[in-house]
Amino acid sequence: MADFDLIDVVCNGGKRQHCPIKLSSVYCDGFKSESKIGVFSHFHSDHISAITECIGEYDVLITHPITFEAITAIKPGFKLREQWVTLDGNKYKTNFGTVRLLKANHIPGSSQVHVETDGTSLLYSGDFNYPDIEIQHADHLVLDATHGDPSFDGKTDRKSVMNRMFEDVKEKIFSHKPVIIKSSSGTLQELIRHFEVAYDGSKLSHDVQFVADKKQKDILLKIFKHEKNEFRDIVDYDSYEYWDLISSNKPCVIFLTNDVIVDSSLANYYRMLVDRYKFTEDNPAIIPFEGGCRYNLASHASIENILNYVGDVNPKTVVTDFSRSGYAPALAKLIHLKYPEINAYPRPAKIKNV
Amino acid sequence: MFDKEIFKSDLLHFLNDSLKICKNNSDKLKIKEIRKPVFFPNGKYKKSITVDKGDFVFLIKGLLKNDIQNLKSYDVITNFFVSSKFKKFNKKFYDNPNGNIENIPNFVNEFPLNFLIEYLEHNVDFLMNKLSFHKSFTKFFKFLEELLVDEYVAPLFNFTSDVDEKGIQIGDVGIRKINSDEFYRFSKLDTVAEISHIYHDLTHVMIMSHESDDLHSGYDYVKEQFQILVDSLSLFSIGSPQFGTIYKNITSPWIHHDDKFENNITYQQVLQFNKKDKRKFTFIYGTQKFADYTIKGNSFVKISKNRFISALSRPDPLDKLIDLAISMESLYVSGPGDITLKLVNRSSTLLAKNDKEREDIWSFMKKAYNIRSGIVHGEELRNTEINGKNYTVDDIIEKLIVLTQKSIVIYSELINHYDGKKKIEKIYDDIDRALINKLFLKKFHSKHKKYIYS
Repeated sequence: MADFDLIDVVCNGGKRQHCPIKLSSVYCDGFKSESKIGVFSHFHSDHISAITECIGEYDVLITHPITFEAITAIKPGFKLREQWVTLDGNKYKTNFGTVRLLKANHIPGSSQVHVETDGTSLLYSGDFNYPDIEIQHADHLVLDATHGDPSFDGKTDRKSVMNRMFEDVKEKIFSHKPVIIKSSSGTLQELIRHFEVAYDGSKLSHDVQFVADKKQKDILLKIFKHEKNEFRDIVDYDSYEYWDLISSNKPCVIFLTNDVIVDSSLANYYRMLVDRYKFTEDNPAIIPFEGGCRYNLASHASIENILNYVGDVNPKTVVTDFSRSGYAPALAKLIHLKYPEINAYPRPAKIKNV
Repeated sequence: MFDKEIFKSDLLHFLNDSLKICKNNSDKLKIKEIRKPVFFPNGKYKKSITVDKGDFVFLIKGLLKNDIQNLKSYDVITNFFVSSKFKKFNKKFYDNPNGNIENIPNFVNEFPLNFLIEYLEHNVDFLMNKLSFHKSFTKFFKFLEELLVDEYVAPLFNFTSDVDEKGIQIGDVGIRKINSDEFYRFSKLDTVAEISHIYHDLTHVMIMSHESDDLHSGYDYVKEQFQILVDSLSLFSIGSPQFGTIYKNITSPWIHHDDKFENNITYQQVLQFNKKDKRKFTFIYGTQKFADYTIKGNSFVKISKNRFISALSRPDPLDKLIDLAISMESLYVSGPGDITLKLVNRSSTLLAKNDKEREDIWSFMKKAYNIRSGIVHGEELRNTEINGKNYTVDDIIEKLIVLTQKSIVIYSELINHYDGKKKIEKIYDDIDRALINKLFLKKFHSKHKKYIYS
């Protein structure tokens, strides 16, 4: 077993809420009282939900510059706090060692957290995708277990799928069909950027309105601030302009995060759904259904790639995060099966839903 | 269905409560300018005028939704919407393919909001008007009773008629005068500076109600039914009617509207339809509605009909004549040899009511087919004389259209009287026998006498 003083998933009474990942004296993506240093791996809500508590108590808050921009887009007042340290390739030195952020290839700004202390290296993967991820050896690894199930094994090529999504958007808009795109935050911004900037072919006229929730729009304009002049003016979801657009069925593209429950006014729209679906090995990356289509932009690694990642990091122990994924125990078993020399187990051992 | 009177009383309660909220927030009502169409007395578009309209959708759904949904009387109303019918409605609107893990909206919970919006559209002062409530309630309850039924409508282009707003019903499909809201939506009057020229002559629509469990299959069925009606019109009179995009629930206050199929509409000859012709037209519609073209032995009629429809849309008279000739050939000739003779003998036997007409058709078809042969060998199309009568190019084409229309309608009926393989050969055998046997001709004509003697 690992030394729980070094790495752990610290859940208050085994409850699945705000559980920070402990890497020595550093706590990632959650709040632990009487701690000094916190890190936020990326800006998805389940990873920054404890930010208000952290900012009230921690001395130092480390994150990637893009994640910082996204967080301060959501809560502008946080920008004024002096605890922030942004790392993009550089190290942060403390009295017990160093902290580094490594590219995680999950959403813009997403990072793994690497800590070196007393000759021992500790790593928290955060949500990640593999390959195209920065690899650094660690003695002890805390692993995100989202999609740590063999049923999430669909193959995809993100760039091709995003290109195809844009082609589909154009086709629908040209046939006067409005479109709604649902994805997670981060992926949503990547998609808008892809449509407006990165896509190589013909673009969509700026006469066609894009709609997004104000918070998501603010994140977009912050994390891609150097390209914001390339973006069309985006209509705020639920604003007067939005209702005017939909009441007349004008062609438009509405970007929403998965947590938004849509109004019946959007029920007839062509639905393009990203993530939140088990793309198994047999599934193609694009699955049409009546009235819409699903796209696999896999922002989490498949089981095969999780195992490859563990092999590359080559740790002595692996803790799988049971607080954010129910697949943690199964994943720990699979890791131990493939790498018998590695100690792998879920933490916390038991979990309560709240 | 639940108790109508109890529901009505609870809905009135909800309306009272929600009107108070609306009244207190009346300063937030946005007024927008919308363009409204004005029509000439003959029903054609004259101009648009700008009118002010309160945006109650934004007021209720964009601003006051939470306050209204927190009302106890709102909960009372939504508690009525729990039976399997309402669940089916919700599933229809948001089917969850492959049981994925999305957030599932509950659309039936929006009904009270939609009712409130509908009421406010007619009562802009936010005051309770019981008569108006009763009218809105009656429409609302009818909608709830037929929850899965959608209303489809499509603009009917190249068509003019004396049919009024009440309309006429031909089988499952209705034809009626277009209303102001429909014209506003179809022509995109609110978004374009100048509406497309094709809308200037648009006066009528086709309508149909259809029940389905999903959002998409209804379109295919309705498109098929609209096509049958438009084809029947083309077989009924001179002209080339076309239908445009099919709209669903376009004026429904209860469900958001939708549309499908953007057809490219072009100016063609306008078909005049008179209300008094309904009976004759219904007969033709019946032949097309019940002709089963999926049966292999019937496909030659379908081929002929498609070629005929294609001929109507041809701008060049030369192409038109060739297409019409091909359409006739598909009906009257199969296999090589003596094409002209078979075509003229069979068409005159089948179409004529008496000897005189038989000779006229025989001579006309012979000439028309010779002209067709001349065209394909490079000759020009010019006026001609048949049986001592002068025919312009337009006359020839018009008469050929009428003969082709009759032929297709008769064949659409005839194919139902023959079975088995080589159906077309059996029909030819009977027509050829009728040519030389007058008694048999009379018997043969009885198979389609309704139309031939109409």
